[in-house]
Amino acid sequence: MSGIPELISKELYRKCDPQQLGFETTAEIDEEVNIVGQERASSAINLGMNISHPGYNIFVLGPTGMGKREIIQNFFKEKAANDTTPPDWIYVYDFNTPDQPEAIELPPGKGSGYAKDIDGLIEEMQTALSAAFDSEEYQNRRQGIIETFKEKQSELFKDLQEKANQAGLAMIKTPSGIAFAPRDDEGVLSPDEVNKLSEEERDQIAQNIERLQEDLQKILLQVPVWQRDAKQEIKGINKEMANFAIGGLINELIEKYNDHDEIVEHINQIQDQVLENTDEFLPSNDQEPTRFIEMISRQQNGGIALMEKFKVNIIIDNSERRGAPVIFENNPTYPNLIGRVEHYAQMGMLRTDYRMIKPGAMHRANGGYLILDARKLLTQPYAWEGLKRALQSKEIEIESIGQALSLISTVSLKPEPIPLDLKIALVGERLLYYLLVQYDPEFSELFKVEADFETEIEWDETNQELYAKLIATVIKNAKTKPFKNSAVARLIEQSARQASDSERLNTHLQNISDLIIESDYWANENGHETVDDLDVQRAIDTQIQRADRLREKFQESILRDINLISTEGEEIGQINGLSVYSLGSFMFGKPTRITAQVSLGKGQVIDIEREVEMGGPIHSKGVLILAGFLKGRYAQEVPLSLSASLVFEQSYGGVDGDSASSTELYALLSAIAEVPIKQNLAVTGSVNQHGQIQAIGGVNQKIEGFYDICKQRGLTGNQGVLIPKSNITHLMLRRDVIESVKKGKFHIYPVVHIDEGIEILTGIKSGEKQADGSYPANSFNAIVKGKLEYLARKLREFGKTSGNHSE
Amino acid sequence: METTVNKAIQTLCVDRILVSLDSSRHSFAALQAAIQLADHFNAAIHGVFIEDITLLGLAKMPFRQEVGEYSAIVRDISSDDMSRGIQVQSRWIIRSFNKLINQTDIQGDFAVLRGKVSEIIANEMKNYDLLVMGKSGTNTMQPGRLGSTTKATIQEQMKPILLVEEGNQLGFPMIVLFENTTLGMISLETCKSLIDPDDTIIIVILDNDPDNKQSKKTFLSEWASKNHINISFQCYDSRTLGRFIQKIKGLKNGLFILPHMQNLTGAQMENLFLERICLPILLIKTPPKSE
Repeated sequence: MSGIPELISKELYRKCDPQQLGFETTAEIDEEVNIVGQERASSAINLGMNISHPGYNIFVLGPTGMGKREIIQNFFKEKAANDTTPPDWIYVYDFNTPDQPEAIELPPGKGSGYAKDIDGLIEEMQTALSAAFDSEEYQNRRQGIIETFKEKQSELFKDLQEKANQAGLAMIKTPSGIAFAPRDDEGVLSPDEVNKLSEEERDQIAQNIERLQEDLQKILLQVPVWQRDAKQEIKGINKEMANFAIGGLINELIEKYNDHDEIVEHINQIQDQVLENTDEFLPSNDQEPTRFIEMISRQQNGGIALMEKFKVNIIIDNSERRGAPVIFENNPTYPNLIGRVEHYAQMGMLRTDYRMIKPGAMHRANGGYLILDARKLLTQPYAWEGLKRALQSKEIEIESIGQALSLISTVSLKPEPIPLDLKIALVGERLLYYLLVQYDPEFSELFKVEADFETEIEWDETNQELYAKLIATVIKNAKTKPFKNSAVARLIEQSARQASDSERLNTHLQNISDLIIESDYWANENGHETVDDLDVQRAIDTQIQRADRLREKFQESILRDINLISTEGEEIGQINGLSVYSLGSFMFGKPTRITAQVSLGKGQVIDIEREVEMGGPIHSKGVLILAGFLKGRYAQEVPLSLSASLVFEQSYGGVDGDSASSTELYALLSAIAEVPIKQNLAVTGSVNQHGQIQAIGGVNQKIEGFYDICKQRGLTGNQGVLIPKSNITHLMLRRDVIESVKKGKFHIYPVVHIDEGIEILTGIKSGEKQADGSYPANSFNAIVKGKLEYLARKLREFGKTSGNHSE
Repeated sequence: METTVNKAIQTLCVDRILVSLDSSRHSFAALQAAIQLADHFNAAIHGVFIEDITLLGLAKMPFRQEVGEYSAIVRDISSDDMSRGIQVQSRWIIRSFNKLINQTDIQGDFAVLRGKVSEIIANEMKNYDLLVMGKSGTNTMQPGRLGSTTKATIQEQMKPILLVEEGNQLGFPMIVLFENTTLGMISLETCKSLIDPDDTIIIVILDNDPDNKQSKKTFLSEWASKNHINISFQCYDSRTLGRFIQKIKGLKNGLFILPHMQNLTGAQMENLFLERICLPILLIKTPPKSE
């Protein structure tokens, strides 16, 4: 088609010159680049990171697979290295409020040191107390008190026994008490013998028994008092001995932790507890429990042993840390964030104590930085609410979900909250960010900084160099073979292809990373020492091959003429449109036949897709624009008196977008003018009411979609595609397409206006509007105008005829 | 000193042990000690609980009242209450006995008898070689270490008796009071049979005459040397005996083997040991009958 402007091969693809990269292989690059062209996001992160006021937490937004988490992590790590190391936190048993373990803050490393010191203290106390209570001194003093008590008791009973003897009575132990009964030299009298006694004798015995019972009562009331006194006295000795045994150990520890009031208080509490509970350290005479119930009873009464209560639960140990922590919690469930109180099963019951308190990610990151995946966080029950509550109250309060929602009322621990000083970064998609802004009034107060990541960056010399270094860094981190400069250049070109723009590079690192790993695989397969551009191409090809099952099916259907697409000849009101399909990250184009029919009518253009509810709103908008164009251009003097219908033939899945609006207009004009359209061409582009062709998306895939069909049917040399001129910068076509264009086997026509397109498609001059409003004779526009005027006349005549009839 | 040691002297021979049980902790300790000895001698154990008819008779008397041991409240005694109280005790004792016996390979059986306690024990002991019982019963208010039933049994019983009190166990040290009599030698030989070769027997010599003491030591050293036994001496006289008692008063584990002393001084001394020492005491009153 000589004379018609078409694109040359150089315009179809932007090559990256390997020589411009400045290295032979990536092994030569030492500099690490983790982020390119994200100035807006970087500046936001820096702001959020450096403002210590509450609420300046960061939401990092952008599509997945861009490496946002790694980038924010690197930012945090760099800053954290120079931050102050946060303190250690421990939980200890609170003897005043046992269900509320006490949290104590200690300088980094001191927490574990204190825990070791307490373990040592426990061990030494046990030894010292055991020695003290086994000592002859203690045993003799204790025995002395017991003996004195027994002697006093014995004296009273001896007197009572003597009185009983004098009264001729025996003192007898019954199963539940003590009784008196008359006796003689042979022993206690039998009931028969007693009954044989005279009444006076029995009365006398009764009186004596009554007297002795009174005496016995006095003794029995006195004994517990003495017993209590003896116990107190023994307790006093126990205390004295214990104090002597552990005093030195306690003082030594107090001196060591003199600067920490809470620790000193804890040590003093330990001392008080030992002195108050010396019985726990005395040799036990307890029998082995014989019954299940007894065992349970002991468990319930005992709980955890006294010495165990002295132990320290280290919640946060920063002894090995230099700088502030940077934590990424991959599973941000409520307990994983806030911490939890674990339980253990014992005798069929769930038990817990302060040593079962486990830290959450917020504890571990406290004093530093926490990174969370926003989607995961929001999908975990109550995790988001828990996080917000902690940020608002500026403290971490460990509470189970059941407790937080008052679902359970069983006794559990309520650990003292720990103050929170933390910078949080949520990483997520843009949609999540905007939904949160819209629907959660607290969100904007807690996450004041948005770090919005660009999905594309400009492909200029500076960014190309940085991008190459970024690729080299990914290669280094992936531990693959070094890449030749030609391979890196191919990766850069592919990045532009993914961005669908020859002037932009895609920042979606996951795709590049996958391609690098697969290229390395093919280099290995091919026995290459370094990865070259052919390995990269192989990786690209195999990626496409893996994903293009559906494309193959579509193409097969066209080639078997099941799906009707003509690539030669001419037809009135019939044109090849181009649509694009997106399956995950894979996109491909497919030609679609669009047809138009016109008849006498009232200026309606019927979109059949819309009528059957298979067309989206944008598509409908495009069709309505067509009517606007027709009215504006041809119906200034006569009314638009046609009825037209447009349809995407053999389309069963719905249509949307306006990228085929120019195509539909060509079909419609062809149908009106009854001028055939060349079927060896396909068209894409949207149109406005003035007939200007506008840019569309997926231009590369659309061109390739038609090219593939033509190629398989055999390229005739006059086949090609009309694209909007404004899409030229987006062209990053496949090499085989470029080769065909170079050889003149395939053509790509950039079109600015509908008039240009109609000339290419029909071979007839469109014709410019003249001063009198007419078009040059035999021009396409003149034919269309003439046909529309004819239709208007016919309609008028028809109206008159039918009006007469009606009269 | 002239020793009366018969070369054919017998050691204590125990095939059947009678344990008299009530619901006291002393009684429980006695059962544990009996099991230890039965295991050592490969003997069988017969446990017995005696329903005291004196107690049952109390409820039928006109003055059927008791004073609560802890509440100090005076209340009437009924026959039903008394029977029920005794039955509860008996069930608990049987359960404890079976539980302990079943943990061993020892052959054991149990009987509940009714009558006067000392009479029943005397009658039962005709068929047994050793009586094991608590030093006192359930009456915690009584004066002294030995209960009235125990005292009566010691008085009447001629066969060996092992007396044990609450919380104490058989073990070491093994202490024997040496008497220059047949019973003294039986006690010594019995102690020998209870120890392992490397263990030491502590032999207590009580004599006011220094020459006699020396001569007893010489004899005992020869005896020990002949039997390859380690011994150590503790020598006292009547004035210093108190020191010895004071020394071992607090010991809870071990065994004190005491030959019965028939003269008045000896009887007083025996009573002193029985009343003042916590340790389990094996009282040997008569030589075992020759087979």
